[in-house]
Amino acid sequence: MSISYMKRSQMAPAARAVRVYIAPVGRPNGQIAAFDPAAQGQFNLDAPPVPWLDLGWVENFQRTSATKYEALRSGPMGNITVQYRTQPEARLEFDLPAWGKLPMALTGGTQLMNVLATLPLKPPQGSGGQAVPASPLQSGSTYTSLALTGDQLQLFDVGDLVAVDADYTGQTGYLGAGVPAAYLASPLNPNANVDYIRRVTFNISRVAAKTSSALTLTQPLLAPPLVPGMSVQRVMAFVDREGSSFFQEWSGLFVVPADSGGRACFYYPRLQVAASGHETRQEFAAPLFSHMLHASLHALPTSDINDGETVLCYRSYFPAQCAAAY
Amino acid sequence: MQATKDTFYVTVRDRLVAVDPQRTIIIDGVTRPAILVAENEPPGGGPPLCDAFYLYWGGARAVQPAVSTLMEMECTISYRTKGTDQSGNLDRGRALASLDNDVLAICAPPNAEKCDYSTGADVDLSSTIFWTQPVFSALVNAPPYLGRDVSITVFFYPEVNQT
Repeated sequence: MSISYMKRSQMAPAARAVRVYIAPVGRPNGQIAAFDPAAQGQFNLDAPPVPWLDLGWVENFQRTSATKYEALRSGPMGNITVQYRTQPEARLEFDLPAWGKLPMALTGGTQLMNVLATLPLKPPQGSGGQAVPASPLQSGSTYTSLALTGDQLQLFDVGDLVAVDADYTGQTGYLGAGVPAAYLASPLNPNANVDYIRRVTFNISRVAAKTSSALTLTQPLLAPPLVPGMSVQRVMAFVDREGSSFFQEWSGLFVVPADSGGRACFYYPRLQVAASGHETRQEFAAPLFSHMLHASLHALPTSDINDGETVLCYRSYFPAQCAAAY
Repeated sequence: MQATKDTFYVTVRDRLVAVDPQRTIIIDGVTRPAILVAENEPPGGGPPLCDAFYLYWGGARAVQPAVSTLMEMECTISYRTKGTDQSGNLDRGRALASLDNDVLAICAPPNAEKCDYSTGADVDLSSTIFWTQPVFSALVNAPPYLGRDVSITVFFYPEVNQT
């Protein structure tokens, strides 16, 4: 048995699952979350570099290229003289076992609305009726602690989901703190839709505890910064809508950590949904089944700053410590 | 293969010390973590100790012999308990569940850097071992004991300088 054969064996990644991280694409300026394999490639999977957000493990990860390959032919036999590529296009599919704000947003691809707690006896609506009025944040609020006046604290309980963002005042364009959560081409009536930004915002968390002056959160708010004028409301559920026009856009990072050593990373600078949200059913102990969110995503092109090449996806591989280099 | 066996044992032993430092045994007057490798114990020794983990190594084979040197080896972790005298041995089930919890804890994460311990020091062999999730057998009720066997498959790359 040769040494090279043993070293070559360690070039074959043996992995259990694929881990997914996403980061919002800044809009309308198109700012994209970077992933530098040299500086960030070997990050702790449980503590991804900022601004990447952990979506956990996924199943049935499948990449496909739809780029067209064409050929110039010449001569009486029509031999191929040169090949070239047109319409660079790539797709990505996988199933997310975990549901929640981010998984639903990524797979649904449109506004992922926070269903705000409603006032009693108000007309029901599909994405939430007239909401309980928002509670203004007080000074001293942070990403993990929301300062409120004493009377407003009474409106919240430990375990509540909460959304934090500004009042809607008639603006258009991309809305939502930190993450572009919706787009309005024309203004809504601000008097009737003062809660609209909190209905779509990604700035959410769950109440872990209450002090005499603040709500303590289980996770940091997702979308900094906190600015004066923001308020908080209770969230009862998340809802997306088949038929919506808005496209969310995310950067995606997919990591295949090999137990055998080494790591493969797939970095997609720009991803949008390629199909409306649907689910994959997988029985694991009948009648129990896992109802996974199916992601069908389209990779959008960017340009590599090093040479101007069009890029849909960067694939990087970190060899195991003792694997052959080539 | 010895480095794989040693690495797995040292890994789970050290994790046991971290997650359940009170789980110890006394052998020949020496207190040590309650985990042993059966083939390293004296032949004809006494019956297995209660509330201790015994590692038994089984068969091994190449995983994909045509394309890789990767091998797999079976490992069984056996343990039993009779509960505590203070509770009139009515806590056998709880004691077994506590042992089960320890197994889950010491088996995660399911990989480790392989080292050669043949010289007494740990020499990094620049590869990893990794293993499957533990599979718990049905409960073995042999009064006064309750016990269980846990099956794990350990994967490794053999080294040329190993026996």
